[in-house]
Amino acid sequence: MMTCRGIIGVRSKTVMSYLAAGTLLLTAACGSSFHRPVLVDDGFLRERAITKTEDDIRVSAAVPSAGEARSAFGIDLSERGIQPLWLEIENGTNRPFIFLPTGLDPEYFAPLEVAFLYGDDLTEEGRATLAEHIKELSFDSRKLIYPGETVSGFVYVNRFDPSLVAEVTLIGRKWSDRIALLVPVPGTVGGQLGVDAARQVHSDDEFTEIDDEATLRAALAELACCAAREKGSEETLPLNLVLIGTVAELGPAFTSRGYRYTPASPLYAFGRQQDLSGHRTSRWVAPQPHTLRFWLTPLRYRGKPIWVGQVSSRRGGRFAGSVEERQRIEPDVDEARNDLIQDLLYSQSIRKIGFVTGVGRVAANRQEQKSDSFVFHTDGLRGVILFGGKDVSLAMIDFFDWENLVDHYWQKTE
Amino acid sequence: MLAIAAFGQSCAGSDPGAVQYPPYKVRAQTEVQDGFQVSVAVPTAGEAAAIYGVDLAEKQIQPVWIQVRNKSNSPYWFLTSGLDANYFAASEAAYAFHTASEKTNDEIDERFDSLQFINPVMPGTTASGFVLTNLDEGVKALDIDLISRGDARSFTFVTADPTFIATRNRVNFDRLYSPDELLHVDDEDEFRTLLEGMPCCTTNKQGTETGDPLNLILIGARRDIIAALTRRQWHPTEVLHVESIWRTVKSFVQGSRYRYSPISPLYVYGRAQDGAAQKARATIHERNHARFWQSPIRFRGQTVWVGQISRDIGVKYTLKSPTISTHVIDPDVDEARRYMLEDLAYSQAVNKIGFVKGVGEVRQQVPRFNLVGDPYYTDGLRAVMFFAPRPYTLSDLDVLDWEQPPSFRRDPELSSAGGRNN
Repeated sequence: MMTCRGIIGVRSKTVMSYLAAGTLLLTAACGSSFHRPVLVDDGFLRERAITKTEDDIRVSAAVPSAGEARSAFGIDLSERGIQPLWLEIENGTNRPFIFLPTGLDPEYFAPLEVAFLYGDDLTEEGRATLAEHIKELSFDSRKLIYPGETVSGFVYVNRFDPSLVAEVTLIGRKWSDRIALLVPVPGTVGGQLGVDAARQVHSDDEFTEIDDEATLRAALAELACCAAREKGSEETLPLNLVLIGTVAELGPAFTSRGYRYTPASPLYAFGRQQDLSGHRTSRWVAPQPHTLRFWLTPLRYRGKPIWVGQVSSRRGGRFAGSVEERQRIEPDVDEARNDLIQDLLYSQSIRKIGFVTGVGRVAANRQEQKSDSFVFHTDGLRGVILFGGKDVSLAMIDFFDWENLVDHYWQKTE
Repeated sequence: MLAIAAFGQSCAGSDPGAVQYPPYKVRAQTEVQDGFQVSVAVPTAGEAAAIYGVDLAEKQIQPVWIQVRNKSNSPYWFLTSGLDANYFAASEAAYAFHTASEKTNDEIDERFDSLQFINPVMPGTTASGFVLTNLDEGVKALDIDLISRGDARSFTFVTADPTFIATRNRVNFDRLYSPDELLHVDDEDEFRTLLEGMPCCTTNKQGTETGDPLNLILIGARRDIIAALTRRQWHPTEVLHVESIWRTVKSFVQGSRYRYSPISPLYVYGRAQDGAAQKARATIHERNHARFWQSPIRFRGQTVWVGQISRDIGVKYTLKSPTISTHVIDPDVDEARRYMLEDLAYSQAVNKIGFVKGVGEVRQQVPRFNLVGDPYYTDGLRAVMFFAPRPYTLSDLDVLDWEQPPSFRRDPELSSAGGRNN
């Protein structure tokens, strides 16, 4: 496809075509005009919107379908992996604040960036019309939102998740707040199985409510030790992590550290394959190679769902070669668990961490490790993370007074 | 194409061994906080190869040597993710150098294992070892966080690779101004007036033409500023260098993302920028570029820097820049300024922000033009940021009672129920 703008200007064609050595063709006359769609009423978004009111701030969010987005914007945002998200924020507090799109996605697109991405094939005038149109539809993130004001419009994030965990971050003078919503994405029924099916695994009356830490510790230690490669298989990996929190609490914490919902090969626990899985993504460098799989348990701690999971890496991580090689598990499974826990401490949303007994200690056996793909060694503990904090600095994170990782650490290295 | 290719090759062929520098442990930097002593050093690619027996740099891996002395009564854990969220486990990095020989592989595993930093640091002990990070060229900012139950300690260092081309021509920040050239100011109003009187814009080398507006004021130590930028994946460069020109041409042709791209010189105080930083977006064709100059102003003892930021939305070729390629900027320069404010608010190293008068309003309908002919418009203000050692959360951020951008004005239409209807 020929372009008029974008990677090159048209100022120094000779120098340019010389440099590009024929990789690009320049066109003499180029561009079409942009047919600006009529501004549509946002009633359909309001109807669908998920709304949450917290700390006197109301946030509503909705995602248009690809078709709805096309007719509103006049361009196909999904083609460039852009997910428009409609937001409305009502300030019922007595302080002015600003909305920070970085909290939704550090790689969000500013309105004019979106316009630039689609401007290549347009005339100068077409580009101006497109820019104006997108600006009109967008949430004005430069605006200071005063008490009593309501602001709405679209923000643009990267398209990753089947359900969008939208964390709205607001900041005022020496004050900030975060409000998270789980927003369904139309047209991703298959993908939604990840989050929504997990919520339906247990009906409300099946849950056991736990209120005190001693009971919690005992219940977590009792959970199944392992997940199997196939139902009933002896090839297993330890369930080495417990997460306590709603999807709206877990989602933003993982997202802020680069983890996304992505499918993973099945492991089996509780008679079914994982309810949720994820991997890390990264813009600049190859991301850490951990695979996360979680199952919803029929337990709740102070109203929050409890998930048990398996965290591991393939042997060789980012340097693993062939497909067969990639199926082998790094035998030191604690490495992936500890990496993830300490990384999540930076999400600023963890209230408390600790360790309970899990599979029990398994010593390293170098001979077995070489022959078998599912051999592992571990201190036998299960990390436990309680989510739901806001703006928790490293020094503020609390600890469950349970198993002491230091003791197990020295035991393991003996 | 040929001329530039030859230029690049001659550069790659130069001998890095010609640079003389002391061994990495001698270059180590140390910081002491009550009860803790933390030292860090970054071996050069050559030193790393000697330590590990394999060429780590070839796999884009850079070891960082860390030593922690814990004189407290509790065990402390060093959080590797704070240094590099995508660091390499020793077993993973070792695997990259595996061969067909089991025996060799066992030896490699053993060596990587024995060199690594081991947590926790028990009370009254000193722990040291290497952490394997992703390779940064030239300047590397190192955040060392130690946590224990109910306590956290943060240390920040900025190191420079002695073999890196850019650092050979480093600006000597201690000699930019003589003591009698410095303007010391303690009063906030007086400071504000001084900032308003700073040059409006960058110029060409001769100082005869004005270019992009100077829309940033940074107050703080160079170390805190560099660390804040790197923490948010901005890549600092201190001068333009030929090697990166070649890579820019390559990344342009290949469409790949190269993290370090040359930044052409613009002039303030009669000199090219003292430092620059860039943060790429989806492709090389879109990135944020910031240039900084140290000003002669010292506010309450803190160094004051003036800067210029714009967002590039395309590359064009021009004979007005020594890099040949230059970028087409987003005419809405306030967007790049807003982005940087927001991004650095997350760096944990900014504790106060505000706005002060700068170039003055330039309306969209009547844009001005920078030195290479790109139009821009702006509300005319400069963003002001105060930097401090970590950690500051979003809730700690204070605001100066100075200017307010037009977008901060109250909009009476939005106060009715229901809000704006799109």
